[in-house]
Amino acid sequence: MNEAAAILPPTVGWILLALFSALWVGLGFYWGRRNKSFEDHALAGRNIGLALGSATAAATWITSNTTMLAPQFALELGVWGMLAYTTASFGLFLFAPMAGRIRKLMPTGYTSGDFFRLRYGRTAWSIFMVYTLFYSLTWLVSMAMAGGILLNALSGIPYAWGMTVILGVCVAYTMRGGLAAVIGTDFIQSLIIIVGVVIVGFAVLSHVSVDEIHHNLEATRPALLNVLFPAAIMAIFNNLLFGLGEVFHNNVWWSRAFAFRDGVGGKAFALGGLIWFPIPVAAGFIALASGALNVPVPAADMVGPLVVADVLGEFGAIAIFIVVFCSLASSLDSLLAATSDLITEDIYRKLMRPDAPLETLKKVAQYVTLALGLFTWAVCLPRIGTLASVLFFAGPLVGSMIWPIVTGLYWRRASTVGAVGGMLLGAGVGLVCYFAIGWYVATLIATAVSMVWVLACAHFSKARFDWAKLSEAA
Amino acid sequence: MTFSAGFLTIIIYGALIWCALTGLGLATLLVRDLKNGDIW
Repeated sequence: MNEAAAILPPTVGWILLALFSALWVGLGFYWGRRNKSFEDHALAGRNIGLALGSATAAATWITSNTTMLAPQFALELGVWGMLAYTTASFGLFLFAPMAGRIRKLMPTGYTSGDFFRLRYGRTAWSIFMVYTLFYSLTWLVSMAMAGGILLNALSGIPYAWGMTVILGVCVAYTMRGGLAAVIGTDFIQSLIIIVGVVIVGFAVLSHVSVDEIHHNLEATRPALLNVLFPAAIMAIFNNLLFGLGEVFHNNVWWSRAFAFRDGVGGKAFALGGLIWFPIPVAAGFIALASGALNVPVPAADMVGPLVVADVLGEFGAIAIFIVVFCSLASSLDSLLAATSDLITEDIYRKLMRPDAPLETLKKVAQYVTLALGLFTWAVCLPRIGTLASVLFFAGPLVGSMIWPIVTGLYWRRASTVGAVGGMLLGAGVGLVCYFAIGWYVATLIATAVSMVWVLACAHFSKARFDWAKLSEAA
Repeated sequence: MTFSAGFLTIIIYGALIWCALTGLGLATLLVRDLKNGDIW
């Protein structure tokens, strides 16, 4: 997008970018002073309280997808599209009891990889690592790419510069401050996002009433109000299961379960879910107002900013810029930290240097964060296009891990054969369906196949796992 | 069958008010944790 088509002058964009970049990097360096060892760096000393815990659970889940894709979902799938998106919060709600159990069973654990290795052995761990690294790197690249594209569309800042700055800022404060910096900045970012969404939402409603929006939709696009919109109803299941698979397996969430103070995890994830739950509707309804407000929408994925800028002018454009920047940063930093910890703990420490001191591991984690940043930057620089389809491709992989994780945490009879078979069969069949039928059924089928295999194996298994083995990860 | 204007009003205003309340709740929680020295 050229500068003339952007909704904010590039100078304003650069000033906002510089101000918030300085704030995040400054806070990251300040909070990073407390970190002495890998445990401090990776898990913030395992002592995060309820306020920061709840905010980080919500902020990490509020990606640029939430603030940008929710309006697009509303525009394309109507009321059901917004409601379908809210089901992604179920991942946080259902992870709440699991977080408490993870903390109890693995008081010295570091990563979700620790769980797979100790619970199911090396083969299951290897499959898990391939799946989760593929997913995490894809998510990381797609977020960084989205950063460059969105900053360009909102303010005309060239793609390569916008992507480089937002990625560089996140790498800098995550490297220096570790999880403490990520969680601290998440709190501020979540408040900014919530306040921004509320102000923009009420401001739009002061220009057009819900009745006017409804009348316009009835007259021009009645399908968006259809209670029985088939594509939107299918999206509910896909979003729900994708969200469950992502939250249940990814080290982004497990690292928080280990980092929260004893007794905080369950409450923090439940509160995080409650905070996140209304965001897709609060941010998404703006798209439904585009018709009543006579705002032309040349690209569906820019409908939210276009409506806000049209109604609220430069103030609205600035608000959207800040909300999007915070949404991107709160997810990028978490992914960088969690993926770096996974590589440091599961590959460097467990496979290469089991005797490495915690101070050395902290340095390794910092270099891995830098390497991840450079890798992401190199992949994103050519601007190869959207990675949304690749993320949907990862749906069957994450869906196939739901049942091995849930049964592995709660059932002593859950077996390695069940976990390995569930992940391989579920992902395999899901990917076949992805190509043969479509993305919207791939995660659902992968989860179902994995479930049948895992439950059948658990039913016939004679093995009974000793939970004490999970506490040996230190 | 279509979603009514009343339903749309409830979910939109409900979501915005819910967001506002959770923002206030988060700020209150932070103040409480700060007072108790429980922040981290």
